[in-house]
Amino acid sequence: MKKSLQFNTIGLLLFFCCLHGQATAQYDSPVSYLTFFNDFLIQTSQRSFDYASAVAHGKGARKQEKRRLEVIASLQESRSAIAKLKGYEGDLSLREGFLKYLTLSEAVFTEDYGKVVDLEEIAEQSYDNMEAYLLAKERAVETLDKEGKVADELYKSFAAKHNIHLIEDKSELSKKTEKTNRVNKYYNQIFLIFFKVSKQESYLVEALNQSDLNAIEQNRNTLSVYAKEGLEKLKAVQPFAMDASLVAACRTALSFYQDVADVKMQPLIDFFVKKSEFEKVEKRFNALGQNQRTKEEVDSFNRLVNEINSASATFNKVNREMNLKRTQINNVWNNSVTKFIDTHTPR
Amino acid sequence: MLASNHYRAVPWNDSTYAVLYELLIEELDPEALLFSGTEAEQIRQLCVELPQAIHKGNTEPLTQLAALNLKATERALNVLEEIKVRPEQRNVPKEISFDAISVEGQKLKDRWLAWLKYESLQRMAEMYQSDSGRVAPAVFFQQHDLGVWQRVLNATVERLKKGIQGNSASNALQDVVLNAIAQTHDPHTRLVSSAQAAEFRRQLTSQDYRLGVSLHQDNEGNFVIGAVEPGSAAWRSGQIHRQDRILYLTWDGEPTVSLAGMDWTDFERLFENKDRQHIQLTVQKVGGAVVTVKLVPEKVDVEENLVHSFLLLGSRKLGYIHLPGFYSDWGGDGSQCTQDVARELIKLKQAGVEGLILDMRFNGGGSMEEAISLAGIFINEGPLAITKNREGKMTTIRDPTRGTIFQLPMVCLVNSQTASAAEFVSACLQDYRRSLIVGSATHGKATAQQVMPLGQPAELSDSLLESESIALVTYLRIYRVDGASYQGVGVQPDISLPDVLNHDEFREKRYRTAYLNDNILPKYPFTRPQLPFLGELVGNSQKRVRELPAMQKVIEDAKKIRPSDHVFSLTAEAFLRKPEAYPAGPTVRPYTVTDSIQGSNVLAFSALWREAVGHWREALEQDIQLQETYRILCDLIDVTK
Repeated sequence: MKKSLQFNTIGLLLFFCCLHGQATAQYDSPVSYLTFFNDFLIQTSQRSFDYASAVAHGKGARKQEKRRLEVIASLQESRSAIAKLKGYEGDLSLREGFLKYLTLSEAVFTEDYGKVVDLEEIAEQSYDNMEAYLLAKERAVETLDKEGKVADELYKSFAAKHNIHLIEDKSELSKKTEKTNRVNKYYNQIFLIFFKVSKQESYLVEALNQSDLNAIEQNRNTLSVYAKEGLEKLKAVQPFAMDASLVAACRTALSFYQDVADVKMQPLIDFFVKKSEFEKVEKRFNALGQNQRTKEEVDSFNRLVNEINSASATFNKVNREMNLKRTQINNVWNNSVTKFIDTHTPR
Repeated sequence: MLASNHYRAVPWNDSTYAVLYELLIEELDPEALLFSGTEAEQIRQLCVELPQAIHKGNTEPLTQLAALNLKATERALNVLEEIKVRPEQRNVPKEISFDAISVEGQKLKDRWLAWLKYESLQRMAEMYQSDSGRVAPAVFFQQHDLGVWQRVLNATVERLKKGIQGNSASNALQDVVLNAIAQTHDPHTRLVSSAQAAEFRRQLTSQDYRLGVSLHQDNEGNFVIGAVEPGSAAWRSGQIHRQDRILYLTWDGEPTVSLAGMDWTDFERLFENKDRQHIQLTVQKVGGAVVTVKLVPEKVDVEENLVHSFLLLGSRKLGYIHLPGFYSDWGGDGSQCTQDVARELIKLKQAGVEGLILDMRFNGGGSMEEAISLAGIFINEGPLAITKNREGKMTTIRDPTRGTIFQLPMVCLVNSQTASAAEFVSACLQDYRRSLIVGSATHGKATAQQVMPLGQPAELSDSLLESESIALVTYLRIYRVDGASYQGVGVQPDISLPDVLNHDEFREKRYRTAYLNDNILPKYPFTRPQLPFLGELVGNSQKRVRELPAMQKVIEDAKKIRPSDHVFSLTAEAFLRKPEAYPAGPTVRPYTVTDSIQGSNVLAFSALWREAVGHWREALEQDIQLQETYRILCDLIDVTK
């Protein structure tokens, strides 16, 4: 007769409390033996989910780190408990399989997610760093996923061997974890598109602040290219669960950056060129004594002064408007992200 | 210092002592006019002692060298005194040989006579070429021979006397010895004295101390004032005018220098290697009156150091940028060439150009940082070159800023005088196929030098250039991004043009201590993109060159240049020749030249600059190499559209 096994959250907690006591006990049935392992799966899954949730909801780095360490502690505890377990009627396969899974999981949370923590510190410095950081996160998740599937197969194999019927509906936790991963993947895809362009714009702003005409023009051209590329990529991104808000927010931001590159920067660059030329003229004009200047020279100089003043006023106006708009765009983006994550990531 | 910092320390042995001797003699007595055979041998022996002696602070060998130099110079002065009183002897020598063989006695006197005649004929040749009259060479020679000869003789005597006077003479000799030791390592490692440091700064900065006058040399060899810059020091004195002839020049605290018989190079050096000192000019006015004027040079932009752009208007509107060197803002208030090029490119883009010619002919290099930034203006991203230091460590130089400023087709125009940082840029642009390289093979210098104050660790900063004396020490070798090198061979043009300077005698190869060409294995492989249309462009250009008589004349003239000639005939006919007119080119030139936008604003306030730009525009329109480069760029635009 097939025995059924259902996951029960409250039951799990009780079992967790009795963890150590049960470690070396003899199990009178394969179901109770299997349940013991199931409890660990749920426990570590919960901890992992808590960590993923903290990351997804943008909790502070300290909170994220605290959750990560909790996961590691939990894994170590579980490994220690399971290592003391005897096999069921001499069958050690489930125990060995889970030990391997827990060891690998611990490695992922220690090393891979440890790397993620290190990468997070420098992620904001450049697009390449950010990409590496997000890739590292995704890789960690994939690794865990892969190992989890192996553990799952062992579990099913033991159940099949001992004629235990497993109810295939996924636990709430499992569903939450899966959905969180999907949300993260979707968000990362759009975030990278946004980040590449916004980071490039920050290089442009830096060059502007340094009055470095060479860097301004190079970064401006690159910003134009990246913005166009990003907008093109966004065309292929579908809404998430009929929610296109993130795509829309990203598109708005990229359109702003494209406008900065192709339109807004022009009067600013013109100002720098005019200023450079004016400074040469001013030097020569000032070298002439008042009595030595012809009317034509004075008129020419005055005309140039008016031009540079006008260019300066335009520069200030455009720069101010750009800064204001940038703040608005960033707020819209950040709010969209928060809303998207809160809406779609289970807590 | 060299042992600790130079790229490759030189082991002192028979071979390197021999090189040191050759370098020293080349500097002290290039025409074999001073030292006898015995004295030359003594100097050769001293060369074996000098490096170690200097290292240990032992001045004895240097003192012995100074004594030899003094004795030889005094002997030469006596010979010249004898020659002075018998000017008719000047017509005796019929030829001169520059094979350096030490001679004595009457042979030494004959050699001096020959050399004086050679120098006189050189000066007269320059005067004859700029003379607009149609006097026959023999007549011109008769009119000017004695006067020029006497001026050359007097100037030589002055120079020799100065060479043995007081502390400055012994310091100068020490500098010569130290430089010879430095250049035994490689031709670009050298000592820069405080006077030379100011000149070095001038070459690397865009500002200099100037009086605000333009000058030219008349038929008599006199230095005459042309335009006077409004508002300049000369202008404000109220006493310096056009056509004034400068007779004497006195820098504060230094002896008065007569300009009689001086050549242009020596004259320029007198004017331009001082810093903020008062100068006194004794000038003869047009009416004959002589006045003395005291002036203070001012810091002004050295316009010829700066980047300039023009529009070439023909079948296509193309941009032209002349880049004379890779100057940087060493002083803190000057220009940086990359910023200036960026500005000119923006102006040219606004003017709607379809392509760009970047002219780096005669660009001797400069700041490597500026060169890297400049390459980055045209190359989007990626490695630009690889450097190797004395420990063999290889470092990849990368484009510091992602992106470009200019994306349209471009051509770089180069020649044998395009060197160092300019070659770096040419090589990068060629490797990425961002630009065609047109002209003749570049100089072949793929090493970098660092500026070091003597006796202190190396660190590049503005303060170094304020030091009294500095050294330039070769510390890196530069390789192209695929591991190849242009050391000794230059960057080879994609399309060659005839050039009278296309001789290895004008390139790095001519230095006896130049590094040989080699290559390295780069960390990351790099393959130069192909240009399938290059053959067609080369073919078109070669056809045009064949059909243009002016280009064929350049090819003929290039064959006539034999820099290694050692024997010269000392006749008026051999020297006094009007330059052969180049065959008329096509009556229709491919373009006219105009200033790019906004540059014209500056012209309203600078008479000198207006004059210079006018000449420049004319020269660019007549430049047959530039004309052919224009056509090549038009072809390139056609095939890449």
